Amino acid sequence: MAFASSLPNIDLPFSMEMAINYYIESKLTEGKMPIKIISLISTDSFVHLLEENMMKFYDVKFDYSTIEETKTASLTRFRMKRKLPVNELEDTFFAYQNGNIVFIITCADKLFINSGIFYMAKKMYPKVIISYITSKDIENILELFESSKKHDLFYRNTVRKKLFGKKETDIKYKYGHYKEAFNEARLNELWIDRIEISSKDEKFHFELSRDGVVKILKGLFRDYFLIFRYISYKYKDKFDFFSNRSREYTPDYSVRPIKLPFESSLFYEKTIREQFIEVISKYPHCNYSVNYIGNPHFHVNIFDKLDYSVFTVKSYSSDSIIITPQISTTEASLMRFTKHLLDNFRETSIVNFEGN
Amino acid sequence: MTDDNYLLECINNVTTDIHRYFITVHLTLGMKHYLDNNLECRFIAAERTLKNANDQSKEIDPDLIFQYENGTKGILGEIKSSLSHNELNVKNNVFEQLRKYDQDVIGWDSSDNLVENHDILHLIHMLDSDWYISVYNKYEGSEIKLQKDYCIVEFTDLTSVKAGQGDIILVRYKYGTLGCDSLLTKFKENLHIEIDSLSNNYERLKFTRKRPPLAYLMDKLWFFIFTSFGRYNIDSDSFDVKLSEIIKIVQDYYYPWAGIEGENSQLRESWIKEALDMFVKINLAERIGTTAEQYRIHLRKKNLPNDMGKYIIEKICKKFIEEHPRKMIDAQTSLDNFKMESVKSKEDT
Repeated sequence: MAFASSLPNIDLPFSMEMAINYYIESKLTEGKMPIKIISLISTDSFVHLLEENMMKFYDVKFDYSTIEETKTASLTRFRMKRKLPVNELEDTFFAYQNGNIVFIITCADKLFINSGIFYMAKKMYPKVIISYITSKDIENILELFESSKKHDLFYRNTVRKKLFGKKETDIKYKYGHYKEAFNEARLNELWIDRIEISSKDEKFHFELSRDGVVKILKGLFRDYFLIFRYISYKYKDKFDFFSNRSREYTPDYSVRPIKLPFESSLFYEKTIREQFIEVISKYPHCNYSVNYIGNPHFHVNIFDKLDYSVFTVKSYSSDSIIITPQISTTEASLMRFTKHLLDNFRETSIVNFEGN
Repeated sequence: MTDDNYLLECINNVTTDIHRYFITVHLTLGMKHYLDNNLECRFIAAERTLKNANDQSKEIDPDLIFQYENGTKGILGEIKSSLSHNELNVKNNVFEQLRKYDQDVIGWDSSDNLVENHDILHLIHMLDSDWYISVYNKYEGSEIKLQKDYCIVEFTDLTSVKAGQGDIILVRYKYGTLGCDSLLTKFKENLHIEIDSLSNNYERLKFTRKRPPLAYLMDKLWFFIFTSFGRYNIDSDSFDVKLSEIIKIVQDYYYPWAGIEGENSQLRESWIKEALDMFVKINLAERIGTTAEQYRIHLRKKNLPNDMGKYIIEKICKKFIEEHPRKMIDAQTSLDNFKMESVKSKEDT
């Protein structure tokens, strides 16, 4: 619990909380459930960034009003309408911003979240970033939540992924302590992409996923504050970790690479190397070139066309990948690319790489 | 040979050239890394020009320069990452270069820029080493007669000893002798250069003094240099840039291996200009303006494939075939012709 108390506080004045609860209640009355909270990184005021980028939203209509604003937090209510080729999306959401983290609170369906909320975030890239948490983070969150609420937590079902981000077809509809789900996944070299959790008395019932979406199926918004604090902390940490790695910011223009270590010497297998290059080739909005591919090495240059970031991706050792930012490489681009790798290749930790 | 085969052969050869150059840079970095920690034999430079002691108008540019015995003796090293298996080429080019290295030269790291004596070291890719040694043995004493000690070592591509032991470039002794005993012994024991240790240095030192393959240079310009200008024009798919601005960025980020008088970067202006001209030919850039050398780079041109490395190589080869109508010659000869323009100015270096 010592760690829990060190997590950043979220400034949510009572009036803002009331507004959110009122929104949720009204949606409940309409029969809409559950509440989804989507976490995003916003490098500036979310509303200002939206206004700045309004030209890009030729197919979207926004109505919004700020409900309340303090020095560190703001709450804005949105109605968003977007024309799609075959139909039209329309729904409402709240954007609660605390520092550089924005929580989008909505009871909208999956289509609206993907083609509305995430579409909006992508249009505001690189100022607004869709980040991620890992399977390990989800496990840490559950551990904190369990000890804080003093309720044992059980899983209802999980979506598990394996190498190359393939969904494990055997979606687990079991019931057991959440740790069993993680242990079993580890044993089978899988990782948890999404997990539905409830307490024994069903006071808490929610779902967590690696794309930072929290689905509340039972309980009050405030009940899950610890989860939002943890996600905030992780997102800020990740943002800081990826920041200032461009060569233009370093003394003597030296490099500040990062390393993704894996547990085994994956790249000795030719098919894995080839499939890995295929994963890179599918990285959206990029140019790449393969400078070298041998056994077990490869060296690839990547140009992120969205914001002109460039980095190299290489495996000099068979059990790791080194990503080296070049003259100008944004934190947004590194986050987007590592998310792509974690989603489509394999989950792992990300650390600094020292070297010559 | 059909046009398709001709194109394929060209693509394969250019790709091999890029791989070999990539290895050459890593090998040079690796030798530097090893010798920086060797007390007896010191790494002096990777790209220094030395002059013939008897005729200072004659210059040589060895890939590697080492000194030993407290700097009183030296080694001139030459990396051959690619040798066409053509005896005439060896006699005309390789032996000619050896004869130049076999003279006393000025430019060493000493008070009078001289050493008492020096050896010659050839580092040859393992696919070519046996063939080359057989040719050398055949002509030794007739076509080629060296006064200095001469040693040949071979090197591998990036390879692995075995899983879990790290990955290396292997450099091992093949022929002759060297005055620096510790280095000779190391070659005989097999020198392992750990690749991980070269990773960060390669990001700053991507070019040796040797002229890079055109496609390799264009790849680096496209990904590392042009992008640093593009970000100032984020809403546009193209941007305009002066040659002088490109050179400034190259000088800042790809500065020379060691301080070399009169040189400010790993790349020559003439190489960059040649690469820019090729970008124009393959429609990824256009020349604009009439006075200063200025280019419009189409960095985010519509409909370009994601794999720009492959695209650039294909376009260069297609351009070459277009400009050199098909003749009854084999692809390697064609590529040699293609590289001729490069070789021509290699003499300039």
